[in-house]
Amino acid sequence: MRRRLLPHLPLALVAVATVFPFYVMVVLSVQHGRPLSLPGSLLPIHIDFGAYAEALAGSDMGRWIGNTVAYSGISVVLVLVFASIAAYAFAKKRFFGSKVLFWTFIAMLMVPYHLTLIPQFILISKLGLLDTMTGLIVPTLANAQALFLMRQFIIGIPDELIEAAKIDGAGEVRIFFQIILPQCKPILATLGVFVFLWHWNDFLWPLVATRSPGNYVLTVGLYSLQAKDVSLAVTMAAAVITFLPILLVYLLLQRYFVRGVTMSGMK
Amino acid sequence: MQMNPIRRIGALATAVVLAAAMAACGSGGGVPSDPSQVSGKVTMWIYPIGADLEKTWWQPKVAEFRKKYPKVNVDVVVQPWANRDEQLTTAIAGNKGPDVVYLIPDQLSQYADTGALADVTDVISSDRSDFRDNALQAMTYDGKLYGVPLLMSVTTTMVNKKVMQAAGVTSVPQTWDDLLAAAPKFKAKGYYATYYIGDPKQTLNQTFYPLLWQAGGEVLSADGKKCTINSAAGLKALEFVKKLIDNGYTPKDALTAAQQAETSPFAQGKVGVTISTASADLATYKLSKENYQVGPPLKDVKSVGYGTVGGLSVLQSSQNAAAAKAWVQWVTSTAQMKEFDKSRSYFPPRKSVGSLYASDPLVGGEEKYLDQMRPGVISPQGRALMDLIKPHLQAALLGKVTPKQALDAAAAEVDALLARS
Repeated sequence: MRRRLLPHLPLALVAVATVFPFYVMVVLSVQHGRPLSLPGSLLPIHIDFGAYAEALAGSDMGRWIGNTVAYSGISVVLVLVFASIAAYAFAKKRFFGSKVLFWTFIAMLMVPYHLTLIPQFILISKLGLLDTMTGLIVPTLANAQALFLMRQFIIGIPDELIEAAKIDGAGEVRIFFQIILPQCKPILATLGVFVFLWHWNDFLWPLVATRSPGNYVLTVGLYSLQAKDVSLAVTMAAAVITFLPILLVYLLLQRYFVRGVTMSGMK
Repeated sequence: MQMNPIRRIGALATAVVLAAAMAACGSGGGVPSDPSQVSGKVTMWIYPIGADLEKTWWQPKVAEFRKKYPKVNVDVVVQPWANRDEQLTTAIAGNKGPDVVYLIPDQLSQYADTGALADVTDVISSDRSDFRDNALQAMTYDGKLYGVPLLMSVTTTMVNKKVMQAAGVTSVPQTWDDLLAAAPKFKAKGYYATYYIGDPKQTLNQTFYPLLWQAGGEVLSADGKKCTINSAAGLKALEFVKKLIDNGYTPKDALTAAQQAETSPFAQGKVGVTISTASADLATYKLSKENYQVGPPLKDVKSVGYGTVGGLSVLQSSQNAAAAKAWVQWVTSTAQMKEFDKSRSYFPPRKSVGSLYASDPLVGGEEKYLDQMRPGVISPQGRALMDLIKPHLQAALLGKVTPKQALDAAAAEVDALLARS
């Protein structure tokens, strides 16, 4: 028995260490308005949900959640579509300047986001897309990180599969949708989770690109409700509110996520 | 040199277009005395000041304003505090900024320096003398008023009465010497005499600067071009803090680790005297107000503390400057200011508002020191130079370098920054 449990002990310790910050977040969120004495305050003896009430004191809450779901959901679909099409081209097609184009695109990762913020804002503003869902989503679609991950995955798909499909008379569109995309399910699921997380937690771009409180996403809306000298409990309550939907998404897509990690590890 | 006639016409047309654009965009002209002459749409960006929901406050206020100015529409947008400079800078760069924005002195000088703000001297031309001098000074840059003060804060000495009693300290320390004299008594009973926070995240406005001013020093020279923190007064202030640390009168770990307010020795009731605190901090973690008492800002050669000023600025790019100024004038009028500041536990920059907290011993006690408050360093580099100074102060307090070396090094870095800007 001991022999069977022993190998799991390090894993259990890592699991506890991983979950601990979330535990702290939840426990501190119910310690509204009370001096904290650590580690004593980490035992939830006094539970007060006042911090949640303070964090949620906005009537636009439903709209913000809706906007965030739309922003994250639509972005996931579009980013995956664009990234997979581009990645297929970069991974399996040879055309003039493909490598230069690819690395130029990847070089975008090295440009600090703040540098591109103002030009991006001016562009959206001149297109008349300020304070619209389109204006919010479009600039985030060219995602270099997603493209890179997708390309690395597609490179691993044997060329023979594509050749065989060609011999059978399949065209490019059919090859992409019937051969490549089904192979990419694990990476698409993994990327989907990541892209959803990035958009769900995104703050700066939605802050700059939206104007009316009705168009805010959750992160911006929650912050707009919080006074400057907000207590730790309210900050934690807001973090819990923002975190819960992502936890849900993660739990639902967990098997894809794990499979994606395992498969990419075996490549 | 003769100019080609076509080019001359082109130049003339350009000049006309520019003049027209400037007339359209510029925010010149004051507030017309007849409200019916003022029209347009005003967008104001404000932030969550106070704990209540701002929309419930601002919408009725806009309706009230419109009774006086029926042709002006006001849209108040409550923006988050987080990343507000990125948001405002981006909006201004994209020519999509608001007409009116709430700013504090640190920001005001940055935006005024880039020409983004309009001079609002005319908004208070009829009652300038009603505003406190330090409030106006905080909203002034390069001799021009770029914001109308709406609120002020006070940070000053505050004592924990229970700790004082336990340590046998009978009166609130008024001077540095008083604090140093009382400190061993606190220590003997297991308390900290005071609480100096030196971690790099902390603003110097509530830590070192007040002590520097109390010693008679300044961060910058009068023209703002030279750092004077390494003066004799600066050295005296830093040596004073070092004495508190070396003797164990203030927690040493607060020099390196950022402590949350709730977990700080202050919230735990382990500190006798704090030297730059606002009573509003007590409410955040429900500390009993009855157990605390405020005193004047500490004094070495003068008694002075840090207090911010919040004001409303009109952007230079505003298309409806007259309407924007009318709104600012109305919001900062005596009656409106009184209501706003009282509801948010801030202090009024207008003398005519009178005392708002006379019945509250704690807040009323702070109110007495309004005129002794300073708003920090009025310079476009105000925030940036703090980041240069902080590590040097920390190094001196941790004993890595002498106070003199630290201040000289900090001054040299600040001078280099000022020379570049």
